[in-house]
Amino acid sequence: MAGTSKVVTGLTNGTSYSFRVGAHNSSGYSAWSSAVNSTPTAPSGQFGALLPARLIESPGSVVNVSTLSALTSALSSASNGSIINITSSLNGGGVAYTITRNATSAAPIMITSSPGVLLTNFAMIEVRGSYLRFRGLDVGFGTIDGIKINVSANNIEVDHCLIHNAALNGINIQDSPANIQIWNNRV
Amino acid sequence: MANNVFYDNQAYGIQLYPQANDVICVCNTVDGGVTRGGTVVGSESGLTDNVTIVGMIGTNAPWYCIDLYDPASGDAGNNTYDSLGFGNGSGDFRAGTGMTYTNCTHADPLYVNRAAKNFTLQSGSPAINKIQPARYGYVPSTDIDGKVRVTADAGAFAF
Repeated sequence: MAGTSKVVTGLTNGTSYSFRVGAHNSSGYSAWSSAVNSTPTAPSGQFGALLPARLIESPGSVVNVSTLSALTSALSSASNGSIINITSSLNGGGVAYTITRNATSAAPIMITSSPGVLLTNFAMIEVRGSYLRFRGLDVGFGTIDGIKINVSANNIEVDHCLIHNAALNGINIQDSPANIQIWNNRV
Repeated sequence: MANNVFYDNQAYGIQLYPQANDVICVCNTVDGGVTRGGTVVGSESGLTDNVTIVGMIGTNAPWYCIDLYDPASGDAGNNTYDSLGFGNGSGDFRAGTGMTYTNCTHADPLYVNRAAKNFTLQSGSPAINKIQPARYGYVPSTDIDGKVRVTADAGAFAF
């Protein structure tokens, strides 16, 4: 009947349930209706409510670099909010590459790379700055670590990176850095 | 630390020591390893406190799914919830001071193809909806591939 309802409790989110209804009056019982299937889900608004806020998207323009020296120059001179895009594979020669740039909460700097670009043979990519986002990097064959987030680093985000074949640690977070976010990586 | 996959690493997949305080580690998948694998929490030169691990899948480690660096240390306030361990050489969830385990169970997560490093979940995986409502706030809204999480699944991949 229109306006008739039934609340079913005790169900498990993610489990499929089948429902059918029938009617009864003084003339007897009806046939069952066709079944309908439904899967209860968790209220999506509850997901993530206890996780810390991520860094905002870098709002600035793209700076392309193809050498280590160009990367160093871009890190020191690019405006806050810039997106530094590494366009050619880089070989670290077994030496650590340390990033100390400090950007701002309103304009984090993002370091990313073009498809197929490999950052290889660094002792480690060592991060000591602030408000830096590393996204989509392919870091391989680190002679010590892949990416090391160290000491005074704060508000660093590593997202969607592939970090592989490091001699020691893939991602090393060490000596009390603050607000480090490691999301969606394959290590 | 959320939605990450760690596999076949030389030592631990995730190392939370020394002094790795106030870490939130949710929906990660850790498989295999050469000497250790899994995740380690604890003290070495300093205590590690207030680590929250939710929805971890830790499998096929030579050592533990969750290891404690020093099970007799004074670490405090570390809690692991709603996690799965399977095929780990020394056991799944190492007991010790400072760490509690809630709704952590031993069960095969039913990866689609572990040999091919495909750690997505088959239908019927016990990781599906493993995370209990009290921890929904720790569940990322999407998974490692950007797929919207409809159910509160453990691991980096939503079913």
